[in-house]
Amino acid sequence: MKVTVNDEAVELDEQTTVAGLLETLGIPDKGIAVAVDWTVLPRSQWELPLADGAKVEVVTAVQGG
Amino acid sequence: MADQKLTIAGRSFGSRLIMGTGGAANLAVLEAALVASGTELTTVALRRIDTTGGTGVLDLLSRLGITPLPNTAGCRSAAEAVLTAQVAREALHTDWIQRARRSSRSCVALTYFQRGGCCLTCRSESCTSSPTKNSTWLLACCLG
Repeated sequence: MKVTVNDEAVELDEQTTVAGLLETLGIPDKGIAVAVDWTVLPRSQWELPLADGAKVEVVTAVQGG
Repeated sequence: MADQKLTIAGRSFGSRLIMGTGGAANLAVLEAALVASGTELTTVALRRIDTTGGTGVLDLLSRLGITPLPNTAGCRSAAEAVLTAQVAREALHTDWIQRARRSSRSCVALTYFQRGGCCLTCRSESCTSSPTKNSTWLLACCLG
């Protein structure tokens, strides 16, 4: 299946979870938040499988303000 | 006044100075500024992660024992500000947000925050005052 992560297309195995996606992309799970289809996903739901076509946003703190 | 601790939502800070992290040329300059200031609370922005860049600013603040205060810089609407607050709560495990006001629409976000929790610090303007374009007030809210 195909999802987008921060507007970049990513090909994944079926039933890939958010946690699996982060691991695949080498993104550390500390200090980040994940939104799927514009809804912030609590960490307790990171083991749920992503749907084909899901739009995933991974956000962290940066310098600013 | 200068010797008084800053207390927000029952949490005390030894310094009343809240610093920002924007504008520093690099993390070394930022670290020097933060250490020199003595701040214990410093604002950060929230952006899409750069998978090649890491989260240097968070690591720096953690090492210095400084609490990150997420802000809504860059938000163009109330909806974006609310989403940013939700993201910040998940990423930084905090119910606090510093709202950078850019337009009248953002006032809706402020109202939302006040309903959800308590408005704790408001500098120079009342929360219901008419907004001034590009003005900023410092507001720490706990989101209930």
